[in-house]
Amino acid sequence: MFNSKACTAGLCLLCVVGALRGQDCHLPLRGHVVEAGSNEPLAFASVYIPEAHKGTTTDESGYYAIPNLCENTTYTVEVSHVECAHFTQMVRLTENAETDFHLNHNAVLQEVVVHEKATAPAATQAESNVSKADLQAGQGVNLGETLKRLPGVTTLNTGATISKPVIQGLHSNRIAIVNNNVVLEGQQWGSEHAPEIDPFSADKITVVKGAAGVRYGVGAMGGAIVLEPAALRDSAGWGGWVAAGGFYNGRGALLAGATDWHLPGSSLTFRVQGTAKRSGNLRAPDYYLGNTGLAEYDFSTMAGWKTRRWNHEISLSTFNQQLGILRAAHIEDTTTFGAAIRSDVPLNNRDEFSWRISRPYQLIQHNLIKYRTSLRISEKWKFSGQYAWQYNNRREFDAHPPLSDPQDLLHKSQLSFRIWTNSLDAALEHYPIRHWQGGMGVQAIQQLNYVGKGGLIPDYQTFGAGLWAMERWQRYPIPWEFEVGARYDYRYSNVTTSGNGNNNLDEQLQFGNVSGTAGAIYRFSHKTRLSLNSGLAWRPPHVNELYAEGVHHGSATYERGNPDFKPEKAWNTNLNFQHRDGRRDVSLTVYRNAIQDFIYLQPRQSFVRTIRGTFPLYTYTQNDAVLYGLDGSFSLPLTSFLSLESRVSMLRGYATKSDSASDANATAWLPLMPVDRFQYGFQWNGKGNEPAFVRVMAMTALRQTRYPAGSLYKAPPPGFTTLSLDAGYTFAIGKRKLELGLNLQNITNVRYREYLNFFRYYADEPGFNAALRAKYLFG
Amino acid sequence: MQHTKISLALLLSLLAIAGCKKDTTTEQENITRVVVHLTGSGGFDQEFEWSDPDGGDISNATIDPIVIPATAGNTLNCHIHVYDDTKTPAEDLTEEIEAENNVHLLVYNVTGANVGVAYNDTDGNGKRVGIETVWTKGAASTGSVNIKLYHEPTDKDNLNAPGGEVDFDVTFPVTVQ
Repeated sequence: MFNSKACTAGLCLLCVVGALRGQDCHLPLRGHVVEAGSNEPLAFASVYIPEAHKGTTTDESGYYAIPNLCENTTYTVEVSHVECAHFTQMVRLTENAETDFHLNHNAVLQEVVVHEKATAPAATQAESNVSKADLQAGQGVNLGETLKRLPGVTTLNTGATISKPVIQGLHSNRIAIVNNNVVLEGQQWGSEHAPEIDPFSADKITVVKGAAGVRYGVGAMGGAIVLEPAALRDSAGWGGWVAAGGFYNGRGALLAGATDWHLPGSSLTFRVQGTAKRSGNLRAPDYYLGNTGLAEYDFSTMAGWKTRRWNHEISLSTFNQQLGILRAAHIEDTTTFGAAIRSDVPLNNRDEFSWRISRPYQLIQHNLIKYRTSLRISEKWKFSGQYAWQYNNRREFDAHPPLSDPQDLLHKSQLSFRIWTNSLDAALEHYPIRHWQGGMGVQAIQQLNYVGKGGLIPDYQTFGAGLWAMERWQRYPIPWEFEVGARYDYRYSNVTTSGNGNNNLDEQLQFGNVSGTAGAIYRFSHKTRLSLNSGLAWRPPHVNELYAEGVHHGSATYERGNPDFKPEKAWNTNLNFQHRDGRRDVSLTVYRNAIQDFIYLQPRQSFVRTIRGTFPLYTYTQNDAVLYGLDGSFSLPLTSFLSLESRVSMLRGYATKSDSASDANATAWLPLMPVDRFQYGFQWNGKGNEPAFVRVMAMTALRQTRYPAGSLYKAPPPGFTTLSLDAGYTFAIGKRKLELGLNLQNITNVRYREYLNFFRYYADEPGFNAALRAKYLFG
Repeated sequence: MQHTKISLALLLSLLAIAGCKKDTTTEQENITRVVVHLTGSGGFDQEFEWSDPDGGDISNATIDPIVIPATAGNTLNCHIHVYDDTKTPAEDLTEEIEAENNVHLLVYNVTGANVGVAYNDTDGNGKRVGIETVWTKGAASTGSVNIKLYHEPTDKDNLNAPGGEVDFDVTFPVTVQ
């Protein structure tokens, strides 16, 4: 970024003088000064620029800012602190960059590291990041359970093993899951289809809340979950990590590791990463949950190489999972269902520990091949292109093997869904030009969905195209920042073959719609900001909602689609307040999501007779709906060791126009809306930057009292409180590190059921669990 | 470098082949036709069919009324056949039920009509199955017979609540002449 080798201070003074003319001189030099070993902020360090005759001292968080400097200019910066060596450094200024100085305490000759980082533009939308501690604690459990710790995020479960993230009440096809820059294309429509993601492959997880259609395309009505792998090693040599973990409940074990190899004398870097996981039957406080074992192995490899202007990256990954499904929940007729929901304990349950995964189970595979390239066209412009191929194969095995072909019983599944997706993305982005920063892009997608004959949904092939542009205005030191964006997407689908009762279907569907976003940020200071965002997003109805016709296993309902559905359109507005000052961190979001033509399952109070008996009829219904709520997260330091932690999620969802026969004055609550949740506890941190922490949190979920009348066989479960503990310690062994982690879930072994778990009719949630993890980082 | 390229290309094509291989091992099971085959004295030999060829909602099913003429004798042998008509050609599932007879049980419930049903077959454990039954005819009457096929019943001795899952649940009108 800056050429400190060629420039001497004298030369640079000339550059500055030369550059002053006609230059925009509104930029700040800003960042943090920290102690190199411990990353502890250095307060009262002096930062001085002799060329500009300007200087300042850092505040208690180590932050400094020197305003009104000139763009694309190299300055000499002198940093000094009473306890550290004084030093001088050349820094060239660009917009949206922060310069951090890492000083060595009482070091005479040690090097000083300067980090110049381009700050990613702050989102105008509400966002939550999974903290390092939460990310580590979540490793070994699935993605949904990892995200559940964030405010505004909960999960929709089918038993203890299948968990789908829910953002502000929306899930499945209404949120986008973006893994390593690729939108995951699986069978997200199904409530028992969990995302095919290995949380170990992510180094950072961000949840974008609210309509994010412009950035992430069709479907991101409720938000997006963005997973980013660690950047490839940029210095020659080997490096990596190995992790192992053990789990008390389910007697699970996991092993994972990754290594990067950067070829000496070239820019070529390779990575291989793998995860293997195995666990047996989980245990609820009073009994084992028969057949809830899991087996998973994931593997990915990446290669990257850089030239002066090009940056190429290719990655391959495979995700393979076998998920046992609680045997007691496999119910295909109403008589058995009635008996099962009246019973307090699961019927037909094998109450014993076993590693064996028998029928019913799911076998899921997801493969991805991605090539991404970016080209720095000029100082200001950057091009990026990406091609991704995804293959998703989901097979579901019923409780009993098929009647036909007995010699081949165990290898046959009752349902199989396969999706092949090809997607091509191209974007042209620019760095700030007259304070505007942004870009535009195009996307093309082709998808083939193949279902075995007699499946729940028909086959289809989809072609889609999208076009987007997004710009952001920022001019230091003006406290305002603005963002606008628009996108148009088109989808064409050809739906063929047969589902149950839909023989000889051959339909052409076309959908096109606009997404938009507009946002503003107001900064009270560099610690406190208020942002407002309003966005439009949409999604076409899924073939499941259009053509479903049949009995839904596990819930003993007969589901029927409606081929006349229109696309869903969401208009989301969120206001977000954020204050970050050292360990004090307060974030509060209020939101309202108005959804036109919201599609959901509505009980019809009538019955359908099938050859397996009589089932209550549920039809997919389309109505306008509103979801609004509040998410908060608070971290308040009490002493220098202890802080108070709290997270709050509250949500209401109702249909504004309803065709149900219920009382016109009553609120038409939407089914399956998350209950209000409160997390509160304490976190203890070792003094300063000592690498130890202990956190004790309680989580209280209330009873759901707002649900459509007649939609449930059994009243929502009562509220509950669970207790958890996370602890971590990092040992430094030379340049290597050993991270140890312990986390305890449901410490008091509370018996409870979750409203958003379809298996709440059959069994309790798992009881006490303890997980112990070790991660060794080398190189 | 060249080597890397080749192996990458190879890996890509392998994945593509694996992905496109047609999976022929998946079949969805649909029982769409149940046949009651009655044979009695005096050459009585007749099949009565319960059929819903498209599966799903059975409000459009066609059901043959079972009529037992006076000439058919007092005891009749009954054999059940089960088919899946969503396959071409239609698949006969009866043999598979027989092959796995210890995890299957047919339960008969007669209402109104004077017909008694007795099991005439046993599984590997000596428990009843119900594919073969003997029907005993009484005085002239009308009513119905409900036939349920239970899969993986937990208690084959308890005909009121055998447990497991219902694979089919069909009712025929019955007339005893």
